[in-house]
Amino acid sequence: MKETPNGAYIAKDGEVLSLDIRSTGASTLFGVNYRLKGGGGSPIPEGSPFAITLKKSEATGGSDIPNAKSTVLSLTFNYTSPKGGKYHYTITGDPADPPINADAPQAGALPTEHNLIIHIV
Amino acid sequence: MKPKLTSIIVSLALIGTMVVSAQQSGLSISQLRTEIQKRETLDIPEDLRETNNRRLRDLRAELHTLLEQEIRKLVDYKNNLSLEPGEAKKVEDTIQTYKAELVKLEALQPGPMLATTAPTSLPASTFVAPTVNPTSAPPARSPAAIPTPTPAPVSASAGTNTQTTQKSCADLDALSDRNAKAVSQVDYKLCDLANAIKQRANRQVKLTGAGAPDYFDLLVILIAKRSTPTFLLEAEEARVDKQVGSTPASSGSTSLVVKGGAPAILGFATENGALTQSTSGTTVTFRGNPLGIFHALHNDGLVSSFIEDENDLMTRLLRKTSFAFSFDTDRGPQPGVFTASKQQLSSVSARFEFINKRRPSLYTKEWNDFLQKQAQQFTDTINNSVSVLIANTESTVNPLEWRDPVLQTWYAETQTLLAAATTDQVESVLRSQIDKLPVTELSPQTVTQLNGIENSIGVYLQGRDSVLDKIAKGTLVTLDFTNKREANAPDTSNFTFIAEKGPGGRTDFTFNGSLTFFNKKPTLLPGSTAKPVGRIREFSFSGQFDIPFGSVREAGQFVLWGSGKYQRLMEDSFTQAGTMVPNTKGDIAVGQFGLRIPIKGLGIKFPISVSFANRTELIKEKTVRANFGFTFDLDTIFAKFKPF
Repeated sequence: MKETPNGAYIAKDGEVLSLDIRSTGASTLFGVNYRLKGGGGSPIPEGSPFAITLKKSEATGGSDIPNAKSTVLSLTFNYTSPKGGKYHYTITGDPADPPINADAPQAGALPTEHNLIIHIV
Repeated sequence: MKPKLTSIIVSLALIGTMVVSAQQSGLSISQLRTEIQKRETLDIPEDLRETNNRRLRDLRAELHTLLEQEIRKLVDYKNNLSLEPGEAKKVEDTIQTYKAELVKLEALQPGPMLATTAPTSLPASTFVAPTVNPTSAPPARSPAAIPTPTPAPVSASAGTNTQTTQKSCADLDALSDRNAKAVSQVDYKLCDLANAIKQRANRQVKLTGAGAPDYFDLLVILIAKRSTPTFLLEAEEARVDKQVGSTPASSGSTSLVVKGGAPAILGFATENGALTQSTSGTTVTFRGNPLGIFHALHNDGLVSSFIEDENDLMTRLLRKTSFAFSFDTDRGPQPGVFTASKQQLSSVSARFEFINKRRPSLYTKEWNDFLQKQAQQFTDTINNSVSVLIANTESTVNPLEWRDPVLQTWYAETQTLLAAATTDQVESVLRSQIDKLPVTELSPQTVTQLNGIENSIGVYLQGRDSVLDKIAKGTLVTLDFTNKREANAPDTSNFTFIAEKGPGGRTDFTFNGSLTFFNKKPTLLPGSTAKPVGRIREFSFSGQFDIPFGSVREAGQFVLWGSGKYQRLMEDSFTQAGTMVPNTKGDIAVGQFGLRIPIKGLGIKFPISVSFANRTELIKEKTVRANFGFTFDLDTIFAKFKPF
C-alpha cells in the first residue's frame, strides 16, 4: 500500500494488510476497533498482527484511477488510562511497498480516530 | 563567545528599532513585511524574545494600518473612476490580497491592533462584518471577507462565540496531569489537533491518513461549538481517595477515618482541632511516596515516572508503599512554631496497599463487551461519515475538502493562516479560527451527520464510563502502621485496616478497623492499688461516605462527607503529662459531617468538619467540635512545572 499526493493510499485488489498494533504509552486495556467500508469491522485482538484483505468487489467509492474503487479504513483507538495512553501501529501490505508507521496518542476520554482512504486497483 | 556576540548585536539592533518605534517606523508595506518576516524567523536569544515580540506587535500593527489605508485608497479609486475590466480586476485582486493579509495579521496577533502611533480608522462602511440573520439564509462567507477584529483566544468549550479567557494547551496539559478529568473533551481534542499540526512541516490540517486524528478532532470541536453538549464541554471529576492530612489518632485531624490513597510524591497538611482527643493541637503532616520523591529528585516527569514504574515489579511494589511524619507544633521550647525537631515528631507511619481491585486488567470482560458494542458502533458511524462529509475521496491527486461549502471556506482560510504561521503560532491561529467556525451556517447534510456522531459519542462515553466506574468501585485494601511518639504518656503503635469501595455513582465508602497497643506495658507507681495495665490500649471501627460535587473546571471539586466511629478504650487514658486518669476506659461514639473546599488549580483544600461525641478520652461528657484544616498536595504543583 502506497501513499498518494493527497494523503490517500493505493493498494492492489486482494492485498492483505497486516496491522501490528501495540500499546506504548500509559498502562491501558488494549482496545482497537476497525471498519473497512463495504467490508468487515470488529475489535482487533491484542497480540499477533491482524490481517485485513482489501477486495475491490466490496469497495463502494469511486476513484480517478481507471477501474479502481475506493474505500475507507477507520481505526479507533480506545483507552482506559486517564492520560498518557498511546498506540503505535505498523501497516504492511505488498512487500514491495514500505510499511506505514504511525502513533495514536490519547487525547482525553474519547478515542483517537484515524481514517485511511484506500484506492483498490 | 559567539552566542554572546550575537546577543549583543541583536540587542543593539533591537534597541535601535525600539527608538524608531517610539514613533512610526516610516517603513513601506514591503519593508514592514520583510522586517516582520525576519523577526518571526530569526533565532532570537532567550533574554531578548520579549523585546522582539513587543517590536513585532508594533510592526504588525503598523502594517495593519498601512494595509487598511491602502485598501481605502483602492476602494476610493475603484468607486470614483471608470475602470477598464482588466484594471478593475487588478484593483479588486489587490484589495482582496490586502484583506487576506489583514486577516492573517489579526489571527497572528489576537486582540486589538494597537500601534505605537494610533492608526487612522477606516470608515465603518468599508468593511461589513458577517452577520447572522435568524430569519433568512446566512450570507455565504468569502475567504477574504474581513471578520470583526480578532478577539482574545477563545475556549473551544465556550460553545457559543461568547468570548472567555482560555487556558493554553500547556496549562491544560499541566492541569490534566494533576487530574485528567479536570479538562473537557473538547479541550483535549483541540490541543491534540494543535499538536498534530505542529508536528507537520507544512503545518496543515490533514483530514485523513495514518497518524492523522484531525478529522475526528475537528468534528468534536464542531459539535461542541454547535450544540454545546455537556459531555464534551464539562470536565469530569477529581480523586476522593487521597489521604493527605494526619490520621484521626493525631491531636489535630479533621477526618474520622483514614483513606487508602496517598499522594504520588509528597503531600503536606496542617490541621487544627481534635476528634477523640481531649486536647486540641496543631499537627503538621508530611505524607509521601518514596519512589515518587526519588523520581522528583531525579527530575523525572510525573506521568513518565508512572509509566516507567508500571513495567517493573519492584517499583510497582514501592509505588504501593507510602510513609508519613507528623509533627506536633505545640511541643518544644516554642509552642505553636513548627521546627520539625525530634521533639515535635509525634508520629511516624508506613502504609502498604495489598489489595487493589481497581486495576483495569481485572475488568477485561466488561471492556471487551464495550469494544464489541459501543466502540464498534462509534467506529462504524465515523467510517460512514467520511465520504458524506469529505469531498475528493475518489481522487488520488486533489486535496481533500469538506463537501459543505461554508465549512470548506472556513477550512481553506484556516489552512492558509496555518501555512503562514510559525509552529509557536499554530495554537493561537487555531483557537482564533475555531471561534469563527460557521456553526450556524452548516448545510442540513452536515448537521445530520454531526447529530449522528454526537449521539454516537454520547453512547461511547456512557459505555466507557460504565466500565471505568466498575473499576473505580473496586475494593482497595490498605494496611497502615503508625508509631505514635507521646511527649510524656506511653508511646503506642497502631495498625489500621483500611478498605474502600465505591458503592454507586461517584460516592466512595471507606471502612477502618484499628488496633492500638502500648509499645511497652505501662508500669504502675509503687504502692498503687490500680489494676495492672494491659498491652492493648484500644480498638475502633469507623466508616465514611464521600460525595463529591461541583465542577472541577469552574470552582474546583468539593467533597461532602459523613462518617461515624466506635472506639473501645481497653485501658484508662493518659493525659499529655503522662498521668493515667482513672475510670476513663469505656466506649466512645463519634459522628461527623464535613466539607472539603478546594482552591482551584493550587492543590490546596480546606477541610471543615463538625463532630459529635458521647465523650472524649479523658472527659465523660457529650461534646460537639468544629475542626478545620488546610491540605496541600505537591503532585499538583509538580505536574504544573514538570509534567513529563
